[in-house]
Amino acid sequence: MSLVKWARKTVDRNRRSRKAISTIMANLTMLIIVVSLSSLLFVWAVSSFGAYQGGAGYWFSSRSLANQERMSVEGVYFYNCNSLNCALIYVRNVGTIPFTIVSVYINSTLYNSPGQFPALQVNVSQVAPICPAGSGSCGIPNGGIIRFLQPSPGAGDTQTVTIATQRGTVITTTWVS
Amino acid sequence: MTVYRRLARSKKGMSTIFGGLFFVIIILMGFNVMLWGFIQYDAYNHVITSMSQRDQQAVSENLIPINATYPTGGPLSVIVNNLGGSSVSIATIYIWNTNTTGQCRPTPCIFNPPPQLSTYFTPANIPAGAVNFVIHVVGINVKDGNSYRISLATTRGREFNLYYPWRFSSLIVNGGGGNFVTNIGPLAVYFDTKSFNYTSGSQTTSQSAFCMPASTAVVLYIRLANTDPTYNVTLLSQTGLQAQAYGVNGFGQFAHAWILAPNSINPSTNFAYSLSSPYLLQHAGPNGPVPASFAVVKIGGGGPNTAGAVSFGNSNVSWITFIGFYYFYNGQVQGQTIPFMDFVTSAPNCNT
Repeated sequence: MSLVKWARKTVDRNRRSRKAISTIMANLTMLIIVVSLSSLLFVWAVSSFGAYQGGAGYWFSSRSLANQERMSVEGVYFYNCNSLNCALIYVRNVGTIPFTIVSVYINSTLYNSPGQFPALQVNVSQVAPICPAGSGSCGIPNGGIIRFLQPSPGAGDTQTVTIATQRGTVITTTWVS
Repeated sequence: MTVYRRLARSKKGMSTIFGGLFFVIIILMGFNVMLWGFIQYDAYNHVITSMSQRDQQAVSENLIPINATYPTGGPLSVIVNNLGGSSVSIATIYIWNTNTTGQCRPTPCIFNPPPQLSTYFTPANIPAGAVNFVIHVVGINVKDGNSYRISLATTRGREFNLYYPWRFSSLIVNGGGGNFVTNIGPLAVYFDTKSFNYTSGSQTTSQSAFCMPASTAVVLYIRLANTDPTYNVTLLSQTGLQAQAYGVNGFGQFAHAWILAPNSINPSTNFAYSLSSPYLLQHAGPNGPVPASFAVVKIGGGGPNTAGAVSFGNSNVSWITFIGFYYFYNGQVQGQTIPFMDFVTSAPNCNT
């Protein structure tokens, strides 16, 4: 009987005890802090890696495409057409992907699309017809005409022609008018 | 309680395990990004490498234009050597008339390989090491007195240019259309069978002067060009020719002739040379002589500023010939002698 009483008293004393509560609370607090910081670190890592992959991926893909562009200016002919100075430019795509010509500079004067000529896609191995805006069809034969209002190019003078594509590939050539 | 159960119910080290797992996940994520970066960079490098290879192949193209000929009836033959390390494919041939009138100007005539039916060129592929490789350009007559620039555009984006008529080839003979030229000072003097000519009687069409009739009055034609890119050349009246017959002494040993006016035609129609209407050879352009740089000089006058025709009296002999060009150039008078021209008169082998 006395043993039963002793056991009951012991149980009651332990149930009411407040010892070690602070240790438990401290552990719980640390657990919450660690979990929350870990979650934050995880979210930050995922977003950072994602942003890096997005930016780097775009850079790699765009530069890879741009590096596959190759232009060859096969001929530039300067002449007078209907009292205007005309330049006939032949551009061949010798790269591995199509490109789009958006700007032409003749002696540092810009002729861009769609103002002076429509943006022109040139497929692989083809020669580009660069047409004046609103002309509907390209000049004859097999090429385009850019009219530019500049002083008449003197015979034997050098003319600098620069072609730029949508992806930023630029080629500069020099021709004798 | 067994050992296994004690271990399974034990909570010791759980935080270490979870922390380690979390750390491993973070490391794997970083590693995955690195791996992705490597793959992207590898793909990018692959593009760079392959395009660099293409560029190197394009740069290694070494097509040497040798000549351009147009036999009677055509077609135009463009002769090239491929001294590069790989075969070359011609994509397009542009032919542009450098004169101010005529065909193929101001925009060029364009020729592509077959299946074009009327105007095309063939063959387009030139193997590595090919010498005197002939490309036939069909559908154009370039023998109309104009000068043409012929541009060969390759599939790799290179361009190789030459002119018709061919300029400044020294020794190449192909199909009888070769040229011989002597360059002295600013002048290039042509001695091919089409550039050293004569007329006799009242002929209006000249013919090759390497075989001329003996004891017959003739007017000599010599084609020359100004190759100087800066200064013009004006021929002066002392320009003349002296020929000496081999093995002949005394009378008939020498023959002399001086420059005639540009509008002289033959022994019946010739005029004294005058600086009021001189041979004025315009300076060459960046790509060589322009059409105005060329002139066909008539020689036959009895002296400076004198009309006339010249006669070579001995038959079946060859004549060693000196031609002295005296001219105004870069603000000064200057002259050179072209030595050792040779022709024959009334030789039996003239027609062989």
